[in-house]
Formats: sequence, C-alpha cells, structure tokens
Amino acid sequence: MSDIIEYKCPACAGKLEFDSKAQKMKCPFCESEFEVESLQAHDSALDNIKDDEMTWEKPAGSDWKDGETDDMHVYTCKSCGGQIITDSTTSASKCPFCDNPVVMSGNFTGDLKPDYIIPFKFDKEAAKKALNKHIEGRKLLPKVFKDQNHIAEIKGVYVPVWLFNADAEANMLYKGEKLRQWSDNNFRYVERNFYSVSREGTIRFEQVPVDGSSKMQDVLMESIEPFDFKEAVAFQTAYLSGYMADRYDVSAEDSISRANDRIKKSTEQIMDSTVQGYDTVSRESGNITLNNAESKYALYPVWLLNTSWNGNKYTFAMNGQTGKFVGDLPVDSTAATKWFIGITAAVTAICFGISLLFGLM
Amino acid sequence: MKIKNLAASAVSICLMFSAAFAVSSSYKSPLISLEASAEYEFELIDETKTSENVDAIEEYDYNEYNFEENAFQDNDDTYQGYGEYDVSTYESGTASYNPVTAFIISLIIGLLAALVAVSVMKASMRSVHRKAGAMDYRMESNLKLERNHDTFLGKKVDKTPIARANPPQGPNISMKR
Repeated sequence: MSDIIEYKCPACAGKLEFDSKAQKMKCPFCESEFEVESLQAHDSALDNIKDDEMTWEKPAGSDWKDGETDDMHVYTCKSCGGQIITDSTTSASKCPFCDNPVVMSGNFTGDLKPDYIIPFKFDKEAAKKALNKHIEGRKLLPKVFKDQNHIAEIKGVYVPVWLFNADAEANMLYKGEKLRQWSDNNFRYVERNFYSVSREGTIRFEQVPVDGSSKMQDVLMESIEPFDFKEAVAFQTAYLSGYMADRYDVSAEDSISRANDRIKKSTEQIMDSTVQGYDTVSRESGNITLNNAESKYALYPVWLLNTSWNGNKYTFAMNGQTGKFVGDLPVDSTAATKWFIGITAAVTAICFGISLLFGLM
Repeated sequence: MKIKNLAASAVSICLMFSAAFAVSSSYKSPLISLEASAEYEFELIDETKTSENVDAIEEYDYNEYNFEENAFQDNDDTYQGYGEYDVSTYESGTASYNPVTAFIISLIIGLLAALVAVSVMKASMRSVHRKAGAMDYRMESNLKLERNHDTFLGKKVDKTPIARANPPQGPNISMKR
C-alpha cells in the first residue's frame, strides 16, 4: 500500500482534506481552500530542496621565488607569540597587537607568498589625526586615558587576509500572503490569498575578506571594512618597507566557514528582496550552491594602536586605504554619573518651572 | 557634536512635555462648572373658546413633558408658561496646583531624559561591530534571476460582524390624533 500524502494548510499548518464538492483541498480547522495542483507543486518543491553546497576548490597564495625572502626578517613576540615580518630596512621593537617587546628570530622562510597587496594610502600623521578626532569631544572618556595614550606608538601593519570569490547560486522557496479587506452593512471581510513563491538566481561575490591572523581581532578587521580591491596590486616585497607585516596563522580552510556565513547571509537578503507585492512573506526553505569558488591571499593595510587603562586592553584600528577609524573607548563611570545628575537636575528644573508658569499639575 | 545632539534631544523632550502641558491647560476639565439653561414659552389657549383652539390643545400632550406645574400661570384667556431649567449644574471650581506632584512628575521626566541621554553617550563610545554579510563585495547589479514563479495556492475569507450601537431614539413625544 502506497504512502498517503498529507498536505499541510499554508494558513494554519493543519492537515488538509479533499472537499469533493469544491474539488479542492480544504482545511477543516480554518476553512481555507487550496488548488490541488499548485499545492502539490509547492509541496514537491519543499521536498526537493537540497543542502547548501559551499565548497572552495582553488588554493590561495603561491610559492616564493628563490632569494625573494632573503631580506625579510621575522620578529617574535614572547608575550602573545605573534610573528611580525619586516624587510631589512625596517626594525620592529614592539608587538603591534599586544605592545610588548619583540625580538628578531631570524630570516623569513616558509609560508605562502601573498597574491595581492593594498598599499598604505594614509601615513602615520593622518593616523594620529584620525585617532585624535576619534577621541575628541567624548564627554564620558576618562581624561587620564587621553593623557596616557601613546599616540606616537601607532604602527602600520599589513594584516593577512584570505579573499573569497564565488558565484552564489540560490534556490529559494517562500510563502507569500496578500490581504484584501472590505465590508458591507453587517460584516467586515478579510481575504487572505496564499502564494507559493520560488526564486532561483546567481549572484557574484568578489574579494570577500576573512582575517588570517589570530592576533588581530576579526571584529576589528570587519569594522574597518570595506577595502577597495581595485587598488590592490600584485605583491612585491618593496611595499613592506617602513611597515610590519603579520604572518598568517589561520589557514584559508579555517577561514571558509566565516566567508560562507557572510556570503549566505547576503545571498538570502538579495533573494528576499526580489519577492515583492505581498503583505507578508516567509521563507519556507532554500539552498545555496557556490560555483567558481576560489580564494586568494592578500595583505591589507591597517594602522594599529594598543593601549591599556584600568587593567583593560583597548585596540584602535584605522583602514590604511580609506582612513576609517574604529575602536571602543572606555567609559568613565564618574563622568557618566555627573552627566546623569546634571541632565536630571536641568530637565527637572525646566519642567518644574514650566509647571509653575502655567499652573499645571 | 554628539553632545550637542544629546542636548537637543533633551530639550526636545522638554518642549514636547511643555507642549503637552500647554494643550492640556487649554482643555477644560469637568471640574469647571458646566451650566446650561433653556427658556421655553408656551401659549395655552382657553379650551372653551373655539373648536380650532381645542384642536390646537390636543396636538400636544403636555403630560409627557416633565415640566413643573408652577411653570404655568393662569391668565384670563390664555396661559403663559415660563420655565427656566438648569440641565446640569455642578459646583464651580478650578483644579488646584500641587507643587509636590508637579515636582515629582518633573523629576521623573528629568530622570528619563538623563537616562536616554547618557545611554546614547555610552553607545557612541562603541564603534566596533561585526559585519553580518558581504554586501560590500557583491558585484553591482549582477543578479541573474533564472526562475521567478508566483503560484496561487488558495484563499481564506474571514467574516467578522460589525458591532453597532443601539439605534438612535427620537424625542419622547407622543402624538395624539
């Protein structure tokens, strides 16, 4: 005996029954009526939805040429274990991530050669100005924090990032609902029309970056996005002169899940935006497949400043290409209390004065 | 700059409440006396005079009106009735100003305004946020929509009775013919 196919009501999720009079599927609970064929098509589309296929094939980076790394030195931070790469003309004394002393541990060897690099467009002076602008006028910022900030110690660092390119092919199924309302002398009517909405399309994403350094906070790197990849150039060691470069310690494979999350989220948003003309829309199911998926290895320019206050570490970062500056600032609880009391007193006085004038309350 | 915005927000809140106070002050509360009067004049014709007069008297049933008896005064040939009625009269008075209540309400407004202002100031100290998607890296207008189907499944109609007030009733006047 074959399995009995059960259809669920799109309106209330109750079990539908066939109404021989209307020759339609009818819900005994909410009395909605549905066309058999369209309901069958919607149900089979729901069953045929596959899992996401988000795999990346081509490896990122390339091998160094002979002699290319001869003038590159590696400094190691004994505190956080971070490894900084500089060229022979640049020396590093402090770790840009934890501000502790670094020592040169030898010449650079191994690792992949970056495919691209975005050169710094903002110099150290611009970074200092941006930091001053970032903290000026902040009434809740502790004065001591401002005074103790070692602004001169802001460092230019090339941060390793994995870049992901892919064609995201989405196959989505939605349930749309249109409402129509009218009334006569005795009744108010609400008609709910249900639709099965299917969308299939492809969206191209290029150079989605994922931080390849465990020392650099991912959230900080994402906060200074976007970087304009049009200004990226093929990597040359000459660009490292005067700056430090962080050595990647998160592999491309380990960064894939973050790239997939970001691409999936945006693909779903874009596909959702194509469903229009409905009063309510709900996503029933969907899957995303990545085609032509490849990753690249690049170095992105970041100005970094680490400082500590009251035992907490604060890191500020500026996009070395666009000048976007971010960094959470500490809140002086005493200043916050003073402002709270001051505003309360001022507003209370104003309101009380108004009530006296108008004789209210 | 952000502090100026905060101050502007606080002032806006104050102005909003001030406006509300001003509007409420122009509204007369039921405590203020509500007095209305109506003057009615009736001419009663001596029923003994003519048949025409009799018809005129029968046209109205005065018993249906709840007028006081002394509203009618006897004259020789005609009755002239004057009645003055207060529809409703309350003790007149004004809402008294209570400075303690006014201060408490002002303090509550002040605390709320300060809470909002300081919360906004604290939020402005944070600028590090995780990116949810990859919209910045989407190739512009390259969405290739290969399937775009909308299929009608069915419908449901809900019917709700419209609540009606009681039908309006006319004046309680009985007509005698």
